Parts: sequence; C-alpha cells; structure tokens
Amino acid sequence: MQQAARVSDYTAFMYLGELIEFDETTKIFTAPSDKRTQDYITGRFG
Amino acid sequence: MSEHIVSKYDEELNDVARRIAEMGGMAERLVDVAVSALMRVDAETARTVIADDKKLDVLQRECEERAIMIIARRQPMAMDLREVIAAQRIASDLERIGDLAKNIAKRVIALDGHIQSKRFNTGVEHMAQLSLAQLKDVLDSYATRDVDQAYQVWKRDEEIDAMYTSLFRELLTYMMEDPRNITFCTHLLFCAKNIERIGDHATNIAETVYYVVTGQVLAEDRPKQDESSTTAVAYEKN
Repeated sequence: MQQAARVSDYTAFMYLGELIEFDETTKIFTAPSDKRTQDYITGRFG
Repeated sequence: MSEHIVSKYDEELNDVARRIAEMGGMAERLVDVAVSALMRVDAETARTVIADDKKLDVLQRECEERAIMIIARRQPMAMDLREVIAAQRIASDLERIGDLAKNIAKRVIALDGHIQSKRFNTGVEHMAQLSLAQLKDVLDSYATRDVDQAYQVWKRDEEIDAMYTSLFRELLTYMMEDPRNITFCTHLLFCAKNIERIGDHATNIAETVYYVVTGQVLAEDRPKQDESSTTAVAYEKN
C-alpha cells in the first residue's frame, strides 16, 4: 500500500473481486469517498 | 470513531483529541480572565494569566510530540491523517490565543493604578464576549465534528472585524476629546486588536474542523468589510 502511495498517479481499491473506488492517489490516501476504502487504508481491516 | 486493528492506535488518536479539548478549555479561561482583569484593571489577576499561559505552551508541545509520534509510528492515512494534522494546527492556534490573552494581561499590569471611566470599556467587553462565543462554538464543533457549526463560526468573524473598526473610531474620539485619555485608550485599542486576533484564530480552527470532517479546504472567500487600515480621521485645520 505504501508503495502505491509513493509511485502511482492513480490508485484503485479492490475488495473481494469488486472495484470499490478508483481515483487520484492523493485523493485515495487523504480523503477517499468510499467508507470501505477509508477503513482499509487507515488499517481498520485487512 | 471505529476501531483500528491495532487498538493502541485508537488510544493514541483519542489521547491527542483529549489534549486538544483540554487546551481549548484552558485557552477559553485565559481569555476570559484576561478580559475581566482588563475591565477591572486588576494587575493581580493579570499575573495569574501570564503564569497560566506557560502551562498552555507545555500542553501544546506535548500535543505536537504526540502527533509526530503517531505520524512516525502509525503512518496515518485519510481521516486519521487529517485528524493528526488538524490536532497540530489547532494546538498552535490555541497556543497563539493563549499568547494574545497574555498580551492583554501584560497591558493590564502596565495600566495598574490608572483607573479610567467605565464608558471606555463597554466596546471592548462586548467584543471580547463575541470572540469568546466564537471560540466556544468552534471548540464545540471540533468536539462533535459539526461542520455546520464550524462554518457558522467562520462566517461570523465579520461581526468582530466590523466591531473592531467601530471601536477604533470610538476610541479615537475619546482621545481627541481629552489628550489625557490617550495612554489608556491606546492600551485599550491594542487589547481590542488582540481580541480581534483571537477571533481570527477561531476562524482558523473552524477551517481546520471543516477540513477534518470533509477532507476539503474551505476555499470560498470569507465575507469581509474590515477597512480599519484605510480608516482616516477627518480634522479641521484652524
């Protein structure tokens, strides 16, 4: 995850085969739109 | 707040938020005490403000250390990241508010023994009440994560600015009326400026609360009508 934040322009979050959210990397790591993305990257699950 | 896998992380975040709340209460009290010392020109009370401001500085340093520790050890992301950054910003705004209260207190000590007519005070007192209400509301909005309340505080700062401008004019009139008022009124004017700055810090905190909750920066222009920097006083040449 840290690697994605470091090197990519865009990031997608996929969970159990489903595409949950796709956006600019900055957006995903600072203010994601989907709660599941938020919970995943903040270390609340997974 | 939902729980992290590492529960210690939650404790650390909550701990920082608790410290901010503690700092907020302390800053509010300092402003309140400093203003009431000013109203009574009470140097004894003013000295307690100066002493208590040091405690606020210590709390701010602790908050900062904890925030840095969280960034280093937990690599916070998304709302957690915003939370930590906000805590740091709010802590420094509150510390500045403490400093401004201390400045007022220092002027009270300088004024010791110069009891002046009460009519000079009403404007400053009213402004202080408004600033304190702003501070209280913004701290509540931080505690409850209430974006609307934060937004209201942000918009209301205009009132304090307008009041400062009219107070400026009022004090100038007193000074022209009788030059013996100049010393007291000048001190009072600086105190009013400090109170106005406290209001500005409250709006900074409001912006930060907005950022924590929404992840967006409050970008629109704040309504403004303060033109004190261009206020001129007309006088007649004999």
